Amino acid sequence: MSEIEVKFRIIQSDRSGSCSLPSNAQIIDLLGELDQNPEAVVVKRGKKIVSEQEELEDGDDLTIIPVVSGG
Amino acid sequence: MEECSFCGRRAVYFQRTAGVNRCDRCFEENIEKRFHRTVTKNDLIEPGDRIVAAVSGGSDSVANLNLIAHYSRFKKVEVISLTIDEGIRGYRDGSIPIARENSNRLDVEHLVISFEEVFGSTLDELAEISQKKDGPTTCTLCGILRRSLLNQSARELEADKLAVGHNLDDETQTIMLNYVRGDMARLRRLGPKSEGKKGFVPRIKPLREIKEKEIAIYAMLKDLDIHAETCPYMAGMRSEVREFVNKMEKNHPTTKFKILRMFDKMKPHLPVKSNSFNLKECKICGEPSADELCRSCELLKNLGIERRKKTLIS
Repeated sequence: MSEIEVKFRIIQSDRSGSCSLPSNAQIIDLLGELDQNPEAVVVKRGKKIVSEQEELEDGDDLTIIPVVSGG
Repeated sequence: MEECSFCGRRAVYFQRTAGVNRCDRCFEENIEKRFHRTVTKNDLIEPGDRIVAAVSGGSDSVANLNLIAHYSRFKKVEVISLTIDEGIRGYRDGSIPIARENSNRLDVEHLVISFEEVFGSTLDELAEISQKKDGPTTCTLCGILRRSLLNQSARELEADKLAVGHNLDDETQTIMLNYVRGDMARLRRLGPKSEGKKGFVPRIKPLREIKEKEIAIYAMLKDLDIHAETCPYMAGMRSEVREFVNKMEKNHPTTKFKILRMFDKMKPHLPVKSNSFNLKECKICGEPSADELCRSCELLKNLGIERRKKTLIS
């Protein structure tokens, strides 16, 4: 199975980089790789919010936004 | 492209609890419908009400204010927004202008009450004193003092309800925390609307059936200006419970709703604390209290702090 490479950046942390995943991988798979719970983050592709079931594309640049509210 | 299960447009959210994808429009509609359902099911907002909405500037309170303000336009309901400035350097100073701007945009009067003007000290200063005296943690201090200022302000403003932005995650975490701590009295006080005992303005939670993540997405889609920082004092058992509940929800979707539903079913069967004692007025601030001093004034006294202001709203 061929692989794709996606870039990611996690807001409010210094974590960013790239990740190799199978070609049919979804957002939820990327979150799993990065040990991020989908309940606690919102993912954006460019300016658009994407569903965790959205299929990833080679070269995707994703922003992962934690949703912890602090009172 | 993942499609909306209802209209076929591009999906922005997979609602795990229902197993459906929603586009921006269907998502916003669903959030507003669930807000209305919680409000009407529990009689949270009634025609003629004066509502004080607690607004910190974060996504929950800003979304709550927006939903309440829009809902109220057709219900002859007056809305006032209130921000408590605890005095947390580098955190709260950024959120107050956001709370003000959101209120102005909605044509809602906005008030700010600060720890410094009422107690003569900021939370940062109180935290330092408390640490030196082996007193309560910063979160405990902040919770007690903030709740008391919210209630007192709402009472002085003659509000019928005090609306807070507690979401489904907050509610389930608090239920679980009270189990872990074995605190039956606090557990029993939870719910969509608190009792309006003498001196207490009923607290309402219109967002209690909407997840934290859903509110964050709603705020983003509505392009609401929000303060996205995390409180520097956030720590302790709640963070552990949050992680645990989120892990359960990920592996077993609907966990959060089940915790809430189970609690709501169980609540009427929890033993009622005796009401034999009469609530008095705190000798210092006038807040309802079982003792001569309310918890806030007792706490301040133990820290050697003298309250500066008795009346909050001039």
